[in-house]
Formats: sequence, structure tokens, C-alpha cells
Amino acid sequence: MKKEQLAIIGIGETTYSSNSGLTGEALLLQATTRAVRDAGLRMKDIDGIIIPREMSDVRPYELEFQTGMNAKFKAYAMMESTAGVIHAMEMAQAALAAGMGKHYLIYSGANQASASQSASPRNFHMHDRYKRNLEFPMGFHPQPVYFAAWKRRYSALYGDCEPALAAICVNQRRHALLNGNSQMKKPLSVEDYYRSPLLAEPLRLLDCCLITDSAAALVVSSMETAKALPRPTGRPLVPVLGLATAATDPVSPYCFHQTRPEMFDTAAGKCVPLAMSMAGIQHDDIDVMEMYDCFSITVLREIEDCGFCGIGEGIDFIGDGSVLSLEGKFPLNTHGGQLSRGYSWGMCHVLEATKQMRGEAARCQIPGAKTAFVGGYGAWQYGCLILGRD
Amino acid sequence: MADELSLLPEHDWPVLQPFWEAANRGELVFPRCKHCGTWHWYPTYMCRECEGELEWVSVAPHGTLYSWVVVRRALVAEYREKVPYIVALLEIDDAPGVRFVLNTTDMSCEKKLYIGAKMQIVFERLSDAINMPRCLLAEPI
Ligand SMILES: [Zn+2]
Repeated sequence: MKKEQLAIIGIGETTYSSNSGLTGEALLLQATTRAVRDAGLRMKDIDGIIIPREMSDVRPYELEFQTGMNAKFKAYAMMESTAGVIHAMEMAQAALAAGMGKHYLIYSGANQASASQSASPRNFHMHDRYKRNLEFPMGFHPQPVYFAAWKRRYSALYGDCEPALAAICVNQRRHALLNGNSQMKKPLSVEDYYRSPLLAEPLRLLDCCLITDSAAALVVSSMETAKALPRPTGRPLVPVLGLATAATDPVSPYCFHQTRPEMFDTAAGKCVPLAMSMAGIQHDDIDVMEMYDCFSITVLREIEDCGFCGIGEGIDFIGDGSVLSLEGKFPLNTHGGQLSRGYSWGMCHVLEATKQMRGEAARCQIPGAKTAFVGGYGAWQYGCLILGRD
Repeated sequence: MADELSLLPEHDWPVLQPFWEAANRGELVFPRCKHCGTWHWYPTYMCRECEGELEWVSVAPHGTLYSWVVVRRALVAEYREKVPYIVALLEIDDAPGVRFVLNTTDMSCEKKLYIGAKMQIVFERLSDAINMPRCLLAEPI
């Protein structure tokens, strides 16, 4: 069977805020209808709905009830965060090849900051009985505590990583302010980073992503189908040049269990080379990169495991952060990311990469960007997506 | 506000019952494959390496510090009465591959901790069913 080339033909998102005043359904309706209209389609044109696991309160059939969609193909992608979004795209590719339909809607979102209980970061990990019994009673909970343990260990093995983390945070805040649709509204300096309170020592408040009301969606089709569509909005198509996902060994399907040989290992090394060879690119060809950023230390580790430098070399690679700025060699999280723009289960990274390829990233646009890299951390999973320009 | 959860582990969850029964006797046990000898933590139903059967094996209460976090503010309501504490990840000396999460409320060791530090595991009785492992920095020999 010939693999059809995927294209992102529509994107949509809500505002990123700490209190949207909207229900999860209303947020999802905004994001999905915007994505479908952006693609030049109607809701009834959607043939498949694929959503990453646990990334929304709203089930596909609830969205269908609200919108008149009646998708032939519905599935959960069994990965989370940006890895889940990329895995959903892999599933769309498989469904396309199997003749299940032309247009696939992928979404995530909830009013996580203001109301949602089931999608809240606290509850997300409490479904896990190992964690409930072997970590929660010992005080190893919630997420900031796990990543504090990463930060402690990383610094002990490879040197003080705070200058690199400060650089990541300061850069992303600059990008978030340029973006115009961000939860954070004030500039951030390196001094502010070092003044940020220790939540769980050595992790600072500013090392953590935000908790946000937001929803985001994208529509993918084959490049061939997409080219034949009328495009009333005149939006350029964004071809998927490469994508791959992988999991660490052993698979640890419960978040951040102490079951991996090195606690801060990611599965990036198992999928990034695949996606890049599919796209036929080298690291130097990458014009812009978006990486899942639940915590600043995650970004540091992803940069290493994605092969931009070796493990332990991230501190030197990042330096004062200029390499990751909009003017740098590898502009990173050009929309401000989840550290400064708002949390979106990593959907915002795929959307921003799409905007960069369309030339629609406004004040965050990297001039002439032709190749975008998305690195999708999802606990024991990783996904890599390479987008190009039509 | 979410309902608060008990900080006591479920002593009768079958997966961990042998662990808590041993802890009640002041013993530290972890699952090991009868066939290939691989340690598995957290407990699984079979060996991931050779599909062999696992058995619980007693080990000496000594570990090596892998990482640690100092928690002074309760990030969830359940820890309000528990802070400050230090949560430690220990590699169990007798059981390579086992990384064990526990904590200490002895803040006096805070400045002396380092990755690779030798730690002692002791038990603190929390209920009839739960004798909770805790850690202490082992005195320099
Ligand atoms: Zn075995």
C-alpha cells in the first residue's frame, strides 16, 4: 500500500486564559469549528475523529451531538501530550490508507484552570494504583516534585542547569508577549527567574508550565485530497514530511513511575532519527522548533535526546539562550509554549509549527522558515513531527 | 475542592500485599524472577525479561541516594500536616534495578545529602496494617 502524504489543512484554537468562563464543550466547539472552517470544510465533511488519550473532557460523540458531525472513524490515540497528537496523525495516515475517509479532526482541550476535575493535573495521575500506593503516601506527588527530582539529578551529574533553564523561560516569555494570545502578560528577566519561589526544591515556580483554559484542533487530510479542495481562505497547505512515535523500555504506562533505568530518559532517540530520515533532513536544516514543555527541565532533556547535542551538553548548547531566540539558529517555542503562553496538552506546538510553515506566525514568524521540527514529550512516550512548506 | 485521599497505602491490594506483610515484620522485600534473577519494581505479574514467575525476596535495608526533593510547602491538601519533608529515591543495594521512593522528616540531614550517599531504611508504624519504610542518612563509616 502506498503511503499517502499527510497535510495539515486546518487549525483552530481558543484564547489561553486562567478563566475562560466557558464550559469544556464551548471551548472545544470554538477550536474545532475554527479548524474545520480554516480547512474550508463544514463539520459534516469530517470523516474521522482521533483524539489523544485523556486530553479532553469532551468525548467525540458529544462533539458530534453538538455539531452535526457523524464521523465514520473514531478512535483514541493511546499516547499523551504532543506525542499523542503526533500518534493521532499517524493513525489518520493509517485510516487514510485504509480508505476510512478523507478528513480527520484531532482535538484537545478543557477548562483546566477554572473548572475541569477529570482533566486536572492533580487527578490525572491519581488513577494509577501504583502511584496511589507507592509514591503518593511517600509525598512523591504531584508533578513538580517529580521534575524537581530530575532537576536535582541532572545538575548533580552534568552541572548547574539553572542558567539554561532560566534562558529557556526568559526566551519563551519574550515569544509569548509577541504572540498576543497568551496567559502571561508581563516580561520576565533572568533575575526574575532566580527570584521565583521554590515550589519543591530545587524546582522553581517558573520552571513549571501554566494551567490553562484552552482548546485546540487540527484537520489533516492527504496532500492529494487537500490540493483538490477549494481553499476560500487561501491558506497554504502544510505537508507532513516525517512523523514517528516511540516508547521507552520498559513501557511504563503510568506516569513517572520509578521504573526506567534513568528517570529522565525520553524515547526521543528512538523516533526522532526515523522522522528526520523520512523527511530527508539533518538538524542543520531545521528552521524552527517547537517542543513540549511541561517543565523547563523537560525541554533541556528533549534538546539533548532529539540529537541537537549530546546528553549532558544541553547547558553549553543553550548557553545564554540566544541560540533558541527568534533570531537564533534554532528558534524554540516561538509562541511562548506552555511555560508562558498556556497549557494545551502540547497541541499548541503543532499549531505553531503549522503557522510558521504558512508564514502566519505574525510577530513570532521566522522569516523564510521552510522546515519545522516538533518534539513531543509524553512521559514514557515521544513523538517527532517534521512539517514543510507547500 | 477535590476529596482528600488517605495517605495510607491500601494494605490489601493483592499486588502489594506481600510487601506490606513483610514490612509489618520489619522486613524489606522486592520481587525477583525465579528463573533469570531480574528484580522488578514496581511489581509485575511476570518477568518482563523471560516471562518467568516472580518471588518476593528479602533484602538488607540499605540504599544509595539517586535523587531527592525538599518539600516545604504542601502542593496538595493531603500533605498540609506532613511538610516539611525530604522525599528520596533510593537504589536498593541488594536489588539492582530497584528504585524505591520514600521520605524522611529529619531535616537535619538536608545539607549533607548528595547523589550516591548511603541511606538506611527504617520503619515507622502508621496503622495496624502499615509499617511504613522511611529513610535516614547512614552515618559515615
Ligand atoms: Zn526472568
